[in-house]
Formats: sequence, C-alpha cells, structure tokens
Amino acid sequence: MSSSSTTTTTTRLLMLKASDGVTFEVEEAVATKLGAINNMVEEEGSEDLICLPNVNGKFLGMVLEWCKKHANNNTNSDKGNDEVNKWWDKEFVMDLDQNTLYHLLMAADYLSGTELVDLLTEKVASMIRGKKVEEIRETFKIKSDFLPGQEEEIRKKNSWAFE
Amino acid sequence: MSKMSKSESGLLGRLPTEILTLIFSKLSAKILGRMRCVCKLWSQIVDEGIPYELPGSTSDSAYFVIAKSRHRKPTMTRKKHGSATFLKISSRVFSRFARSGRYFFENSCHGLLCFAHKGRCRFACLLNPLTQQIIKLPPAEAAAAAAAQPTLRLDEGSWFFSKYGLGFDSATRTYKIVRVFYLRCRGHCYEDDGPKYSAVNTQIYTLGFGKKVSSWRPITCVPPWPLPIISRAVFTGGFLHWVTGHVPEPLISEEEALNKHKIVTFHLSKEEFRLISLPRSLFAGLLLFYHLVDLRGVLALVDMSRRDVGMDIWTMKDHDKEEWVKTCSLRLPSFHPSNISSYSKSVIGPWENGKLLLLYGPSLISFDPNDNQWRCIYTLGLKDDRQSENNNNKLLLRRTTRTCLFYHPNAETEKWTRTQIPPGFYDDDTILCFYTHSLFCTESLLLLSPFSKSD
Repeated sequence: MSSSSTTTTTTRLLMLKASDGVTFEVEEAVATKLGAINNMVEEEGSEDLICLPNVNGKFLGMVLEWCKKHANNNTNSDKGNDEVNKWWDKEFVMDLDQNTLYHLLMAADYLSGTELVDLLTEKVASMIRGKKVEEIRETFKIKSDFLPGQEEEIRKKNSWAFE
Repeated sequence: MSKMSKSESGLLGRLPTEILTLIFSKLSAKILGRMRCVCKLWSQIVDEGIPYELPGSTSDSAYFVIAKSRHRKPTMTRKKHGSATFLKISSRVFSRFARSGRYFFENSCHGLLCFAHKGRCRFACLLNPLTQQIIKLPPAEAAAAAAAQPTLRLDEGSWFFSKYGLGFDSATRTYKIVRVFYLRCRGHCYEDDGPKYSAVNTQIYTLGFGKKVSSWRPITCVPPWPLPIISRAVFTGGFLHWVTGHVPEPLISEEEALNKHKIVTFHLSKEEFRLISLPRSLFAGLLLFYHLVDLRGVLALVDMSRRDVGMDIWTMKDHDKEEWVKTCSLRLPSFHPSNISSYSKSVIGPWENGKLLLLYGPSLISFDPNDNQWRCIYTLGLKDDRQSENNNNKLLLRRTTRTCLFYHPNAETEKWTRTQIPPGFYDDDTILCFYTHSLFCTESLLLLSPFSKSD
C-alpha cells in the first residue's frame, strides 16, 4: 500500500485539542495519517499541541481510533494486513448512524484523512446503490423541490437509468 | 436507528457539494441517472459531473480524465479547478480496452471516442465513456475485405491499413465515421523518397439520431495525400483535419517541406477532401515539429520547432482562404533539456480564462499566454488528488518507480528536489490526451487515458 510509512522508532507524541477542549495524546505516526496534521507537523515542526477548532471531541476520537488501527496494522508490513484493514474498516462503518456518518465525514474531510473519507463516502454510496428514487429520498430525508412536471421531464430524459 | 428530527432534509443530504460529489463518483452512471430525479441540488451535481449528453445541453468547460480503475463500477469524480472541471472516469470497459492493447485511440468528437483495432484494421468501435456503451462498427465492406487479412507486417511486402476519423455532421445531426483504406508498399513510413501508399477507397458510416444506417457506404473521393498512421484527426468546425507529416524532422528545403507538409481536411457534410497549407513561417527554422489542436472549435497549430522551449500557436482564421494568424507565443518554464527530452510537450486544449492546458513531460500544466504564468495540475487518475495538490508549485519532471524529480519554479535558484511519490500517484506511464469541442454548446471534453500495462 502506501510506501511512506515512517521508519523511525522514536515515537513522538502529539497533543490534539478538539473544539470542546477534549485533548488526545497520539503518536505522531498515527496522527500524520491525517493529511492536515501531517502538514502542520511538517510546517511547524516542534509544535506539540495542535488545536482543531472544527472537530468535536467525540468524532475526533473516532477518527483517531481509525488512524490508530491503520497505523498499527501498517507497521508490521505484511500482505495479510490489507485483509485485516479491510475487515476492520467494514466493522468500523457497519453500525454508523447517519448523524455520526455526517460528522465523521466532515471531520475526516477537514483533517484531510483521504483514506477515511474514501471509506466513509463508499459507505454512503452503498446506501444509495440499488435504490429507487423514492427510496433514496426516504433514506436521506430529502424532499423533492422540483416544480410540477419537471421531475417527469428529467425521468423521461434519463429513462435509460430506470430500465 | 438514526434520529433526524426537525430538519427537513437529513444530515447526509446536506453534506457539502464537494463531499457529495465524492460519493456520487462511486456510483454507476445508471444510478446517477436516477439521482438526477431526487432533488435539484443532486440533479445539478450529477449534471455538472456529466457534461456529455447529446449535443444540445449547455454547460461550462469540462474536462474528463479517464483512468484505470481498481473498482468494478465506472466511477466519476468531478474536480473543480477554477471554473474548469475535471471529470475522472474510471472505467472497467476502458481498462479492458487498455489491457487488451488491441485497440488504439483514433480521435474523439463530442465525447465519443473512436478506436480502431490494431491488427485487424477492418474493425473499429466507438465508446461513450460515460455510459460505458461500446458501439461496434460493422467490419469493412467487400472491396476492402478481400485485402484486409494481412495486417501490420512491417518488413515484408505490402499491407493494408485503415485510418478512421469521427466527426459530427451538423447538417444532418449525425455522427459520421470516415474510414480510408490504404494499401501500403514496402518500406518505412518516413522514408525520404516519398510515401508509397495508395488509398484504396473511402467509406462512411453514419450513426445518427433515430436514423438507422448500419453499413459502410463508399464515397467517390480519397484523400489527396496519404494520412500517416500516427496522425490523429482533429475535428473542428465541421471538418476533420489530419497532418501529413507528424514527427520532428530536420528541414531540408523550404519548398520541399511546403509540398510535403499539408493538412488534409474532410468536410463532414459535403463529404469531400481538400488540402490546406500550413503557415509558411513554420518552415523558417531548422526543424519541423508541430501538431494540431482544437481550441474551442477553432483549428490551431502548435509550432514547437524552435530550439528553445517556446511554442507558437497559430489559429485558422479563414478555412477557405487558408489564412493562419499567429495568436500567441508561449514561453515555457525552461529546464535542463535532458530532463524532458524523452517526454512530449503538447497543447491539449483551452483551459479556463483564456489559459491553455498543456502536457509537459509527464505533467499537466495550465498556461496563461498573457503573462506566461503556469500552474501544475494534478488530476490524472490519482487516488490522492488532495495530497498531490500540495505539490502545486512544483512541476513533475521525471519519475522512476519510487521517486520523482520536482522542479520548484519559485525557488530563487533553480533547484531540483527528489520526492517520494505519494501513493497512487502516477502509476501509469503513458498518458493520452485528447480534447473535443461541441458545436452546439460550450462544452468541451478532455480525455486523458493512462493506458497501463500493469495492474
């Protein structure tokens, strides 16, 4: 997978402070799975306390939990780790409700956790696949805001999608 | 399970457009068609991501990147880059093409791509990358069929080949595929003692709206000049254009070059060929190196024969009078030549705000001819677009399997940096770029397809 895993054995600890003041102490190798933090570490160097005013503690915790799992699994570089990661990812997104999913996505996006965003967007996509328009609306609690007739017209234009 | 009480739309429905686009990009074209009907916002996201419809829709410039995919389903990613849009399509169908290695890309028009079979030149097909639809064209008709079994055998005897060009006839609102069948005699394509091709015949296949014409129809004319195999048709203003000389070559004498280097045009409605001349000053240097490009529906010629890294762009002012106008000169960032010598430079098409999109080595850059400013663009089938954007001010010059060489244009001294390639970054060597422009709307299309051998 990614070739850029750190090889240093000294584990530096970073403090991450969430919007609600909750702080997390994490190994640098874990936190730098998040692009945003990786950038800050590279730019600011010695700064050990990183404030993340846009992320709530609850979700930051979840994001970090995910990072930790992936960082750990990546260190003992084995082929089987991909499987482990996949299994763990599946577990991670399995029971997320929409509210959590939303906030996690926002947090992961803000922190540039590309892989996590990928995982979460895939989860949302899986909630759309195979559904009818009405079912999609219901799932996402979306009200149609088309003018009368407009929807019919779009349906007609996209009739291939309804076959 | 989930509690979404007061809000009229669920939280997930209110994700920022950027994230919704990411989600949508994981869905098949078919589901996307349905999602248009969900609500206005979603419809808009899908529409902006799918600029190719049959001519008639309107949208801004859009750029497509076709990338090899690990996913089963075709995926599309919309990527905003200023006002221009990238659409990354990962296509199973397309990667199958790429892997088989049997088809090569001829040209594209309005988002439809035309491929020809490498070995059996009677076979060609069209691909709509968005719907994943492949339209197989019927094999060539009798006149050519008899001659069509031997294929690309280089050093013995003569062989046949076809040149295809896909264009749109606005008079009948149909797509037309032109096929020129050639007999080529012993020798190499670029031998000095003139070409030894003879065109056997020309046929046209019409693919239309409601019109069901399902066979090749021979026409009476053949191109007045052979079309080199590697010459790719450029479709603008109702004409297909091929250049007759295509590789960089030293200039022997101006007169000779004037005779040898022409543009063969084909008028899609009138169905006739014509020769037009290149701008005369193209032959002023020591080397001939140029290519054609579609700049928003206008035929342009990019002259790269100067020895420095500059390019001159000529546009066709008047097709009938064969009047060329020099539009601009590009001063490209200059590097030690050895670093890019093995890569091509070319203009792909127009970019936002009068800029141009260029392929420079393995990098894509946008270039503003007015102030000679350029910017690196990373969008090629990248898994980690965001990460690679961090390298925005560096130009990728050369890469090996694990590291690549970046150039920092802003550094005070010209500096080279060796950088680890981010994961998923440029795992493909060959990048194929093409661009089309629609007559009916402002939409345009760039398709970049990394045809890879591995994975």
